Amino acid sequence: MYRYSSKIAWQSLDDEVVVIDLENRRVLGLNSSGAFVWTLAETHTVSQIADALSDGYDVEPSIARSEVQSFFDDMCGRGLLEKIA
Amino acid sequence: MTPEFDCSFTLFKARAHERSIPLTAHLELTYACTWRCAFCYNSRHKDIAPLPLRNWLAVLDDLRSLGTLFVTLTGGEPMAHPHFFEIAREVRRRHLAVTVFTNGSLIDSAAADRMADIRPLSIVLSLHGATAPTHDRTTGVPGSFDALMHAVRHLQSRALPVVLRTPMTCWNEHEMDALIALAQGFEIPLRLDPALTPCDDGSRDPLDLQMSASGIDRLMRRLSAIGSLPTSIRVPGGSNCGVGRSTLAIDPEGTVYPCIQWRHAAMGNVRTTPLTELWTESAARKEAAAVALQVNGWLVSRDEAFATTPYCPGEAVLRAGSPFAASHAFELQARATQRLRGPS
Repeated sequence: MYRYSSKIAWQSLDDEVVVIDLENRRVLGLNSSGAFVWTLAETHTVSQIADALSDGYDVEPSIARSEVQSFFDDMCGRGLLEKIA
Repeated sequence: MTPEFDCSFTLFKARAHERSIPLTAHLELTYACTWRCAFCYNSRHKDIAPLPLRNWLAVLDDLRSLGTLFVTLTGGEPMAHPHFFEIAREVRRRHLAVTVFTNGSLIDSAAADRMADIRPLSIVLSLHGATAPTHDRTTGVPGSFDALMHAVRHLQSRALPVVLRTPMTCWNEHEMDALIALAQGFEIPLRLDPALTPCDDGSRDPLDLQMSASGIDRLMRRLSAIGSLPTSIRVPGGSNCGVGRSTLAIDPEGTVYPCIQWRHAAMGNVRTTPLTELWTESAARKEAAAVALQVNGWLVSRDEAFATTPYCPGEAVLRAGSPFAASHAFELQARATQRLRGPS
């Protein structure tokens, strides 16, 4: 499971998300699929999100799983998400 | 899932405006204040029926669901509110960005530590002069300048994002260059604001301190020299500002307005109606949004100077009873700015 970093602010609008990194004063925009994964990050497991992504975006389950994990690794690397379990 | 940086935010803001999402909310936590600024637009410094904490927390939930991203805590002096830090923490717990407008008088070392825990987007401190006599004359509180300087140092030592803001008046315009030098010494951004506004109750007393015509001209020259001339980009069919569309304000007693300056027509009160309902149903909000469109058209039709200078219809209503009433100070600013820009 993951949680949003305490150094960010974020909001969604339609199918997009904007994340503000308050420490580095940068703004990150997430497109539809990124926003979909981001909004589920605190409440769903990687497997659950991958299944939902696969269903909603017509992506092969194995690819969806890889994409979601890669997304989370990227966000954690930027310090925008934190892994908690 | 490729992330995009920075450029996406302009589009996000434009879409929020188009969709009437209140991206920015000003929460006036209290009318109480430790200063008595000579031009203050608050008509009183006491809360008659302060909004309970539980109502503020419900407001924050509603702001999150309405699509708000930026919450500004202001007053009065917001840090004088007994639950200031709790409310600020709750804003952040909902992953919203918090800005604090404060006079700094209540920021000691311990308060600065608590402020750092909040991770504010910015802390905007009120500076009314480059020297203690000028600043303290405006605030009516001896020692307020020294207290502010201490606050700046406390916040800076914690690497917090501080901004200084100075409403320019006939009392401090002679210190314009010294104000700029003071901010540069701290390496802090400084906003010099040429506009004073009437009191929320319509009193025009604050306007007695409006800076002089020569002061406005000099201010625009200084801002031009550093590439910071205040500019609005208006196009036919556009909107003057976010009133009724992408901003809202809530006063210390729970009354909701379409903008912090739009005080003559409230949307309702969050004690009796959820904010989500007020935002979606309010005729006052829709009327304000319509006025913003009309004001844009009016300014564009006047001339280039008017069309490119920031204008506040809420201030105009308070001052002159109409949103279509440019003040003398606005005209001076517009003409000075146009001269400095030269022909387009």
